[in-house]
Amino acid sequence: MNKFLSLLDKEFKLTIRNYYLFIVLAIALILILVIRFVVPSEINMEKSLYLYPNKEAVKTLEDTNYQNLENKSTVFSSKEEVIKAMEKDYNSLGLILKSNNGEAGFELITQGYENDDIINMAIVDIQSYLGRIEFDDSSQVTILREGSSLENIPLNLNVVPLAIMLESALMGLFLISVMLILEKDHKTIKAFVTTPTNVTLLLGAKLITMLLYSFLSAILIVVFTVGVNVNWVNTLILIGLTSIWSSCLGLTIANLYKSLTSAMMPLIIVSLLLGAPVVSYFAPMFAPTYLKIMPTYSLMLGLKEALFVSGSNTMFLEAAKFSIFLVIIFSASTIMTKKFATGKQ
Amino acid sequence: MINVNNLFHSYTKDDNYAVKDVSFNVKKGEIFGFLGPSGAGKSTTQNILIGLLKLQKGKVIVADKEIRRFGKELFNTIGVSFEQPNVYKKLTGIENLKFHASMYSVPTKNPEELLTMVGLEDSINKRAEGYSKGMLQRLVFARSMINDPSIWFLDEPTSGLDPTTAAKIKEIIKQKRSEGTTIFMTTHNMQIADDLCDRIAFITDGQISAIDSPRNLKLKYGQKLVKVTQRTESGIVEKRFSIIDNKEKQQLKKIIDDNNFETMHSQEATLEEIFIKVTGRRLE
Repeated sequence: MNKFLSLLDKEFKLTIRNYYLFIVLAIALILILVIRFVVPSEINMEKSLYLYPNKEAVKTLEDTNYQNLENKSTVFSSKEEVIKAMEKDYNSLGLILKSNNGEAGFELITQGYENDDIINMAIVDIQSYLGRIEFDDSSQVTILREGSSLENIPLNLNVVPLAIMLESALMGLFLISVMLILEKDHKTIKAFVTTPTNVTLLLGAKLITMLLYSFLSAILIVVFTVGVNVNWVNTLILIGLTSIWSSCLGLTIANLYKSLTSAMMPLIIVSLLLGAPVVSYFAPMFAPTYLKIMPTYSLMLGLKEALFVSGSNTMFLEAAKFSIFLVIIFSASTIMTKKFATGKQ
Repeated sequence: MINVNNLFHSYTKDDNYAVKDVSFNVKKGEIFGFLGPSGAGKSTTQNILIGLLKLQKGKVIVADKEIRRFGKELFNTIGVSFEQPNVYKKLTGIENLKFHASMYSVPTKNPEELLTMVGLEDSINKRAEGYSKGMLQRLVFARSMINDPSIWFLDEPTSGLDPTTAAKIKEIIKQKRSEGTTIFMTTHNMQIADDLCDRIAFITDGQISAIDSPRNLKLKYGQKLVKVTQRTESGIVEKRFSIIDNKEKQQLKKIIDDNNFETMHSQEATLEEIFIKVTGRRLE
């Protein structure tokens, strides 16, 4: 135990004197500032509607919701004025109401960048105001996965699970690789292996150091963005497991390479792969299997559950199981490759 | 304390041996020098003895126990001083030694006393990144004594040191020998080998060419010479005469009979000359 405490003491002294702690705190501070002050809590997706209502057409719409449509539109007195206003406002649509043989018709004017889905949704929306589509109480919405909706979470806070997961994973991956490669480069590990202490203990101390830094960073980010009312146990379990498997992965990579330069390419590739599921996080409809099998996918969703207390543990349990599996796999790979680090052949 | 028999090692795991059929033994309390140029197989042999390289072929006994049977406890009994300054540069001298001491399972020496012993008492609390090359070398040397080893491996212990500090280090090594420490020293510095070693082995291309005490090697391979200085019309002239060659012996006798000399000294060959003679190689 004393040996391990000495190793931890050494790792803390080295990481503090090499400014690693400063880097961790600086990144946490930047993320807090970005989440609090740069990313908006919501993005206004609504477009302005510029309307020219033909009087003859309006007369035929007395029994419809047309008035509500007019209330949320800006009304102009000609089609030309509508177009002129649209040219000044890129986030707008134009609607020209027309009379066709005593019935109301319409012409939708778009900016040109809208895809078919948006145009079709706008047409359905307009038609509902014009009494062409009726909604009644028999219509029902069923949610398949409770808690996976981003709707009720402010946009900036939605970034928090992503930020703490990636910082924990990438910090584990990169910093621990640098720590081990420097030991090899300075040949201090060669001096260490001529002591009666096992190298596994040295790697363990590095791993625990990274774990504590991950906790520190995650706690700071969560407290200063989401607040204290989160499921801390689940959050710290996931952050801890992420830190451990990513550190083991970092150690495995560092074990295989002699210099930081040669290890950099595999580290960058692994980082990009780990970051790829971010796409699915923000666009849940796009979740192909090759993104879902990335450990970071379930971790982000698990952390979202833990941070925003949805009452569901489904994703947390999935992420925790996956992470435990990875901890076992990567610790085994670290132990198997550690002989390269010590120079034993 | 150390017995090596028919040791072979190949990094490529084929017949391309870095160490080939090496055999020697080191007795308790002896300083054994392993001399050879770079790439001769010195470090490979030492790395096998200290357990950094796996034994492939041959038999190695360290501290009366076969190296294959040794676990980590071997490192409680040995100390290793590396040629490279492999210390934590961000830690101070005392922090480096205290950390290293805490890795052992046996009583350790007082780090401050060791640093004072090697002349680093004024830099105890200075980070190693601010040390000169010689200071780093002394820190590594002090670290290797932290567990008071009974078998001490030294790799170029005076490399990069000024003559005064080198003399201090040599005194420490001699003192350790007198206390019964067995010392295995790899070097290509013939002077330190001559000054310190009880026995030396010459190694080139992974093979040992000769093992004996420096004195015996000189007697065996060196010529017995007498150096004579004479005053002539053109100034002082220095000549060497073999006392084995009959013709030269007669010439020397005549000089003595005629009292035609200013000084006369017996002279032995240097270890370096003997190394070249035995191995056909220079040490650089």
